[in-house]
Amino acid sequence: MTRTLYTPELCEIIEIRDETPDTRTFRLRFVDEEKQKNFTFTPGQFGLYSVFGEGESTFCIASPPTWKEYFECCFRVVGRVTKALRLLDVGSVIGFRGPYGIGFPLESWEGKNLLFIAGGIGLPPLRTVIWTILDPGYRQKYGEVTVVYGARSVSDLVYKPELKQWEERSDMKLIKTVDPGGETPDWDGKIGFVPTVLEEAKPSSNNTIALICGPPIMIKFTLPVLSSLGFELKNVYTTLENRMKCGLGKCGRCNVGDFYVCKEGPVITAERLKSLPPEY
Amino acid sequence: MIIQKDKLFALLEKLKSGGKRIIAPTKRENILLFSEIGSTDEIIQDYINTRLSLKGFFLPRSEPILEFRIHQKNVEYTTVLEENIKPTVVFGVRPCDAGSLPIMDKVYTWDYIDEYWVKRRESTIIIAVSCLDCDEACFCTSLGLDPGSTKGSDILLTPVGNDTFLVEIASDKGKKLVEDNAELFAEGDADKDSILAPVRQKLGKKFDLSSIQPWLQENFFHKFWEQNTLYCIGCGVCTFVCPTCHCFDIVDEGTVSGGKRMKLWDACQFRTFTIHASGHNPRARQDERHRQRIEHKFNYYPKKFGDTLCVGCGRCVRYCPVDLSILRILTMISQLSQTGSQTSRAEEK
Repeated sequence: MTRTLYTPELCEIIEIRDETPDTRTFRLRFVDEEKQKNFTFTPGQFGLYSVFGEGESTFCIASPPTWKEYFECCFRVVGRVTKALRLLDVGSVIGFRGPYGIGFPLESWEGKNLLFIAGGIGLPPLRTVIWTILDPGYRQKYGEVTVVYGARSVSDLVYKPELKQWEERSDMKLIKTVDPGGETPDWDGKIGFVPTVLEEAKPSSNNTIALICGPPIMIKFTLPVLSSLGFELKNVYTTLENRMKCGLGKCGRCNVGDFYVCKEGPVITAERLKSLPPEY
Repeated sequence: MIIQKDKLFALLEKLKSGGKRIIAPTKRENILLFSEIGSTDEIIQDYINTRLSLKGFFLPRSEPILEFRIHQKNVEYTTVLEENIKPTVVFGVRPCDAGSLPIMDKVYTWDYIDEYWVKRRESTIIIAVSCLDCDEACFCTSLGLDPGSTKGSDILLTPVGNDTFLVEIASDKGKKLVEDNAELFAEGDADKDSILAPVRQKLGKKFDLSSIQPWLQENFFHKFWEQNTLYCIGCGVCTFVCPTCHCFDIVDEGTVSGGKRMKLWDACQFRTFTIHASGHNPRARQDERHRQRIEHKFNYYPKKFGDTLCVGCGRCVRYCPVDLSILRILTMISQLSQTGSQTSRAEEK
């Protein structure tokens, strides 16, 4: 069959989990078994997921490359495509193009501590990194692993069963929080905004890489906290969310200055980000 | 080498009967456009330039790229490619428009290859015709092009009077075309420079291109943008008539049982172009969107691909409904760069 750079692969939905009232995880497997077997990517890369007849939508690959039998995406229901995705059942097929972009430079971080800071649906792009480095084959290559994760309310936290697993692990530390007013009577985490909770936790910046992903307002207030903790901008990574159509550097949509998010991103250091126009 | 007009038209007729689609400037509902001709009688020869560039023959306004059928949970699809590609000869292309093609090749071939663009480029022969006249919107010479430049052409013809054209071969494809039809061409020469001298003089040099990019790099936050471009109404006509604007959308059209995935022209001047799913819009204001168009053409693209993303065809100047002339913007920037007026990021934000 003729294929072009815009031709998707078919993937079957093999499991559906509701993360929050408006956020859903799909576990996907390529219909073509060979494709699934050969599918590799770097944590941080993204794909274009499509519902035929509705269109394509861009999400990160939310599972680690160490999971070989399937991969996952996580999306909030906000637009035409995500509304259509939500109507699909297990066994339905969707289109997938990817992996695209450049992911996190995990190899260059070997020997360092990793600090993850996520807000709301900003966790999926970091979860792929977290599970990768927690893999027995990778874990000893990195130092301390700390995750600070917050959401507006308890019900807005994604991957709740995994948060429990992370809390129980001895080889990492999870600090979870919800915004004031978002707690429930049985909430056992912190209450406060992510930047405040981070400031109180005072993680060391020594030999540490920070990864941050969440709503722009959270990133805006977290960056000064990281600076005050001694983090240099070149050691702070985030991932950009610019709208995309092709994912291949053609359609002219996702650029921030001369930085094509689809090709040179979506992962970017805070240092590089500061040099770009604020169009993200 | 020269060719007489009747021989030239005989060549086009011959190519047409050989199965090629012949595109030429024609009047359609009194609008001058490139379109497929049934006969050379339809060709218009007295024109500055067509309303739309020839971009649409390489990047169509809309084209299907995928067809799919849906049966409950199963989907079958086929890629649409070869049927979109037709062997074509475009005659009467102005050197500015021809010059846009190699510039656009770069974005369509860096890393990933866009087969739709590349296959159409391979299967198209460009026969350009030098300009002997221009209007006040034309500014190719300010961008290093020329009313007689061969960039992007396979053959360039320059009218030398008496229904005769001077022939310049500008590519292997052009060479083959001439060799295969040698009987239609004749020995001869003409002084191209003296023929083009009047139009070159009329075009002049309207701004200093070398001053534009350095100014753009330093003045993203300059009040210039708000003062001079906020009145843009965001209709996007500048991008649609432009030979080098190449932004597109990918949209599905269909029903529950099947449909098509389409590639469609889009425009950075539209509010919805960059809006995020969350509602956040990185370029929320019209002056920001207009700045993007200028920055992309004269700063980002040159930085990335080594070419200015503009050929000075003047269409966006002619057809802007609110007279927001890129020529005036560039002239102002060129002047500002001499006076050194700047507003820093700190002052602005």
